[in-house]
Amino acid sequence: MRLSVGSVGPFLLPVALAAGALWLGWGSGDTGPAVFVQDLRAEPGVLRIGITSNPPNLDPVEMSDTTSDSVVERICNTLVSFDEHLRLVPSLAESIPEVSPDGLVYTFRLRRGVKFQNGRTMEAGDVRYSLQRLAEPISKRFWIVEPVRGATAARDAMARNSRGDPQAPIAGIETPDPLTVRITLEKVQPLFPMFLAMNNASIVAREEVQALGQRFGRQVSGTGPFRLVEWKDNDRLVLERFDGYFEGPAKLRSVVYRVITEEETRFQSYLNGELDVIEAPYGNVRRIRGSNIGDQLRVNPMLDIRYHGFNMERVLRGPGGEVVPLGGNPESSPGEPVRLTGDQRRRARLLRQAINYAIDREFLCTALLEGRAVPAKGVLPPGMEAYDPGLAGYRYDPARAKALLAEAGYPEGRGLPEIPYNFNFQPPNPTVAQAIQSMLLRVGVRTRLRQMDWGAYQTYLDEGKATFFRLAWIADYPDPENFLYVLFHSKNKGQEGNNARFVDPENDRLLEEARSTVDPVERKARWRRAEAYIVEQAPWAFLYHNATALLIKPYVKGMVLTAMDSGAEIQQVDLTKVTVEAGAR
Amino acid sequence: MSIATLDRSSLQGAEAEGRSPLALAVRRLFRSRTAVAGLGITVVLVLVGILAGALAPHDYAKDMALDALRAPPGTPGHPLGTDELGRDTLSRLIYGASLSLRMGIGATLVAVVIGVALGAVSGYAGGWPDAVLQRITDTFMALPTLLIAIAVTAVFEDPSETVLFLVMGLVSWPTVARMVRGQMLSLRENDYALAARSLGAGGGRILFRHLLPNALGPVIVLATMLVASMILFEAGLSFLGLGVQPPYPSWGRLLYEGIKYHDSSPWLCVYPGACILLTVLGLNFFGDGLRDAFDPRMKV
Amino acid sequence: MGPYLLRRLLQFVPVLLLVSVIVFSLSYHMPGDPVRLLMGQNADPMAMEAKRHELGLDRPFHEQYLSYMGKVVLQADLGISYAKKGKGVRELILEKFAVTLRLAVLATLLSVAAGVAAGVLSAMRPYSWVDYLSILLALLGVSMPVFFLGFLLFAFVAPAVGLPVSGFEDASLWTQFRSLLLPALALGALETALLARLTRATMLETLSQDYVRTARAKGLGEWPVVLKHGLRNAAIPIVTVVGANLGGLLVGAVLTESVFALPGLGREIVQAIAQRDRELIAGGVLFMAVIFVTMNLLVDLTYAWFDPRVRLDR
Repeated sequence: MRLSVGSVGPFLLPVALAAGALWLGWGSGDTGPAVFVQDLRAEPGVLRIGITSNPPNLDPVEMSDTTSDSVVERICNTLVSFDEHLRLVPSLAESIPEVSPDGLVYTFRLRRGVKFQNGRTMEAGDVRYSLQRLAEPISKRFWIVEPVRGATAARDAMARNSRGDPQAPIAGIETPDPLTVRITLEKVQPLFPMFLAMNNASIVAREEVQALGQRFGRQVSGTGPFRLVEWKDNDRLVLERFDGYFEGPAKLRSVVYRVITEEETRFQSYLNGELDVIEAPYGNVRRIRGSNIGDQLRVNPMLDIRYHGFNMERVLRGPGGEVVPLGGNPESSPGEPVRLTGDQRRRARLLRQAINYAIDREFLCTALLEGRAVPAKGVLPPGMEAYDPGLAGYRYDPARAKALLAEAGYPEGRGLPEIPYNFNFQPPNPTVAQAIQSMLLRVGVRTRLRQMDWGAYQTYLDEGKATFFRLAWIADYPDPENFLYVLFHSKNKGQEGNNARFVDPENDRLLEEARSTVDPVERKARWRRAEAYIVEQAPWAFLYHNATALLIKPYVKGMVLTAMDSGAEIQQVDLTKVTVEAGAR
Repeated sequence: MSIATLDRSSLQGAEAEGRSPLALAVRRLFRSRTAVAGLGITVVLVLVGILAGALAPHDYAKDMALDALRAPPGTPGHPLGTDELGRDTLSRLIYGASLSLRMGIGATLVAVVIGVALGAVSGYAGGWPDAVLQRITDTFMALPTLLIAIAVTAVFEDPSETVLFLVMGLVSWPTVARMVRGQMLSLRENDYALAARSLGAGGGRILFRHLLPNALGPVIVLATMLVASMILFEAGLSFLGLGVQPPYPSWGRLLYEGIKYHDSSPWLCVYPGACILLTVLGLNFFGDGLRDAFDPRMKV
Repeated sequence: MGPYLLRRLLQFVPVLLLVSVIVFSLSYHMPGDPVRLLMGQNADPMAMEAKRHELGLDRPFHEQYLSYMGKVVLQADLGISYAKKGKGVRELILEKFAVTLRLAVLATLLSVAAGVAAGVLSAMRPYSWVDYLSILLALLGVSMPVFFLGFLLFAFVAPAVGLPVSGFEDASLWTQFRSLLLPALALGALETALLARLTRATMLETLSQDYVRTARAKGLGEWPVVLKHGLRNAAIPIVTVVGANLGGLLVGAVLTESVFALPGLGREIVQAIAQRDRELIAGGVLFMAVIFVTMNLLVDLTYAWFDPRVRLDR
C-alpha cells in the first residue's frame, strides 16, 4: 500500500492537475444567458459608489480629474450650473446673469441666505475670492477667468509670491453690494457663464481656505448639499447631508465613495451588496446585458473624445542618431533643442497621418468595446454643437498609411525608431494599446508599450515626458470651445488641457477667430474650419467617442444621467433627488 | 514530500569506498519518485522555454485572428483557444514559458552570485568582515522586497526585462547569503579543511577548491526553489501593473488579465494558472528531491 | 538572555542606519518635484526656487538625509506628504498599519492553527485520502500567486458564506474579523502549507521514537505522548518558519490588500510609489523595515528562550 500509491502519486499528481485544468478551462464560449448571484441588500439612505482611484486633491482650483470633480460637485456650488439637459440654470445666482449690450459686463445677483457648511452666509466677497483663486499659480484652470479684465495681470502678480495671501485682486471682478457681483471681460466671450458652471469655479469660504492653507484640498467645504465628513486615503470618502442646504436637504442621508482599484473586486462587491453604483466591468457588458442583472445596466452616450496624443515637442532619434521629428512644433522642448525645418515638419505630419490611417477604429469599437463606442472622425462628439457629420476624418486604410509612411521617408518603417507608447493600465487601455500596437506594426511602425498607474501617468504627462500617449476628454460644458480651444490652443499647453503641446500659429488664429465670433451660424462654421485644420495637422490619433456603462442597483431611484457623466463618478447627476430605499435580499 | 530518508553515515561510508558524492547523489535522486516527477516537469519547462520559437504555432503578439476573438479551445488552429485580441493561447503560453525561464533564471542567477560571494566570504573569513557583511545582509533582508522592487522600477521609469530581473535578484540574495554562510561555518571546521590547512594550503585555495564545491549542493537546491518563487514574484508585479510590459505574455500577466473572463472564457485564466501551478510544483518537487539526494538532513 | 539581548539590540542599530540610507536615497531619486506639486506648474520660477530653499530641498544629499534622520530619531517625525497636501506621514502610516497588523496577525494565527492541525491529521493517517487532500491543498497554497487565491476566495467563497468582498470596517471586533478572514486565509496560505508539511514530518519522526514505542508497548494511548513530544519538537521549527516567513507576509500583505481593497500600509505604499509621494514612500518603507527587524528580534529571542544553545552563537 505504502509503496504503490506513494510511488505512483508524484507522477499522478501533475498529470491529474494538468488534466483537471484542461477540463476546467475547456469552456465553449457563450453558454446561454449568464446568471449572476447577487445580494440586493441596501443601506437605506446611503448611496455607495465604487470608484477606481483616490482623488489626488479636492481643492476646486486644482482639480483636473473626474473623481475630484465628482466629489466637489456634491460639496460645493457654483454661480450657475447645468440641468439634466445640459442647459444653463442659476444655482448660487438667483437668475441667469444680466449681460450688458456690448457683451462685456455680466451682473450676477446672488441668492439670499445661502449658508456655507460652517454656518456663515455666503456673500459677494466670497464669489470674488473664489474666482480670484483661479488666477493663483496653483490653479490648473486659469482659462476660466482668463477672459476677465485684469486676470492675467493678477496671475502674473501672484506667481511671484508663494501660495496664499495676499491674493492679488482681479480688476474686472467687482462687488458693488453684498449680493451683487459684476464681472467685466476684456473681450466678448459668450460662453463665459458656462465656464462659471464648472466645479473649478466653486464658491468657497475665504476663512476656511485661509485657516487650512494647503490642507484645504483635504478638508474642502462649500455650500453644497453634502459635507465631507471623512476621507480615508485609498479607502473611502464619506459625505453626509448638510441640512442647511439652500435648496432644502437632500433625500439621501449620506454618499460614500469607496475606492476599489481592482475591477473584479469592485464587481464582486457590487454583486455582494456592498456597492450601489459601479462602472460595468470591461469586456462583460454584452454578457451582463443578456443576464439576470441586465436591467441594472445603463449605457449612456457621452460628450467625449478618446484619443492618442503625439507629444508635438518630441523629437525621436533614428538608428544613426539622426533627427526623426514626430511633432510639428517649430521648436522642440527645452530638453532637446532642435529647430525643425519646414520639410521636417511636413514629414512629421505625414507620419502622424499615416498612423491615423493605420488604425482600425471599427474593430476597437465593435470588438473590444462591445459596441459601446463610436469611431471618431475628428474631435467633436456627435450631439455637440458644430459636430460635422460630413468630416472625412481618417478611415482605416493601411495601404494609404504605408504610402504616406514612404512619402515621409520611412518606407516600410525603415529608419523609424521604436516609438514609446504610454498609457495607464486601467482597463481597457492595455488591450486597446496592444491592438493598436499590432495595427501599427502591420504598416511598419514599431512601438514600445509602457504602462503606468494613473497617478504617475498624469504627472508623467504634465511633465511632458510622454511621446505617444493615450488620453480622454469629457466635456466641461457643452460647447465646441471646450474641446477645440482648450485642447489645442498653444496658451493651454500642458496640464491646462493641451497635452499634445500643440503649437501652431495658424491653428491659434482659427481658434481665436471662432471663439470671438458671436453670430451662431458663423461661429459654427468657424469651429468646423478650425476642427478640419486640426484633423489635417493630426496632433492626435483620433480614436472614438465612448458611452458610459454603469451598473445601478434597482433600489436606487431618481438617478438621471447626462451626457457629461463619465463612469461611476456621475459628476453631473443631481444627487439631491436620488433615494435609496431598502432592497430585497 | 520525499519519502526516502537516509542518514549521513551511509554517505560517508560511500566516500570511504571511493565513490564520488555526486554519483551517489544522482542515484538517490532517481530513487525518489517526486524528484523524478519534478525533474521531468523542469526539463519540459526548459525545453519549451528554449524552443519556444519553434514550438509555438503563432506569434505571441503579431498574429491576431480578428474573426476568432475569445475562441474556445478546440477551435481549428487554436487548440487552447484565443484571447480577446484573437491571439493564440497555446502560443502565448509557450512564449510565457520562455519568459518565465528567462526571468526566473536571470533573477536567481543574480541572487545566487551575490549571495554566494558575500556568504562565502562572510562565513569563511569570520571576524570583522563577517560582522560587517552580516549587517549588510540583515539590511537587505529588512527591506520589504516587493516594495523596493516597485520603488526601483519607478525610479527607472522604463524598466526593461533586464532591469526587472536585476531588481528581483537584488532583493532576494540575503537568503542565499545566509545559507552559504551557514554552510561555510560548518564546513570550515571539517576534516578536509583542517587537513588541507595543516598541509599548508592557503585560505583562498581551501575556499575555492574544497569548501565551495561542497557548499554548492544546498545552493543548487535553494536556487531551484528560488526560480519557482521568482515566477510568483513576477506574477505579483504583473498584478500591480509593474511586471513585464505588454504584449509580452508572462504567465502572471495572462492569469491576471484572464480573471475578468473567468466565467465566460475560463481558458484565459485557468491555463496560465495551471502553467504557474505545475511549474512551481515541479520545481519544488525537484528541489526537494535534490535536497534529499545531496543530504537528507540538510536544512534549507 | 541579557547579554544576548543586548548584543542583538546593538546589531539593530547599523542595520537600521543602512536601511535608512537606502530608503532615503530611493525616495530622493523618485521622479517628480514636490515644489511643483505644492506651488503649481505656473508658479514663478524664482518663487519656486525660494520655496525649494525654504524647504531645504536644494541642499546636498547628505544634509537632507541627516536632517530627515534627525527628525525621525529625535522626534519620531516622518514629515508631511506634499502629494497629500500636508497630511502627516506618521499619522497616515499608523492609521494604515493598524489594518495591516491585524491582517498579518490573523493570517499567522490561522496558518499556525490550520497548518499544525492539518499536519497532525496527516500524520495520524499517513497516505490516506485525508493526507493526500491536505498535501494537495498545501501544494496549491504554495504554488498559486496570492492574488489568484484571493480572487478565488472573494469570487466563490465570500458570497456563499456571507462575508464581505472588500473593504475594512473599523467597528466591532466581529466586523473586523469578518472583513479580514478571507484575506488572512489567502495571505496565510503559503505559511499554512509549510507548517502543515513541517508538522506532518515532525509528527511522523516523533512516532518512530523510542519513548513512543515504549508507551505503545505499555498499552498507553500513543497519541497523547506523540502530541506532547511532537508538538514540543515542532515548536522551534514552527517558530523558524514563522520567522522566515515574516518578509513574505509583508510582501503578501501588499498584494492581498490590493485584491480585497483593504486600507493597509502595503497598499498605501504601492499607491504612494505610483503617485511619487516621496515622503510617504520613505516613511512607509522605513517603518516596515523597523517592524520587520523588530519582529525578527522577537523571533530570535523566542528561539533563544526555547533553545539556550542559540545564545552562544554569533
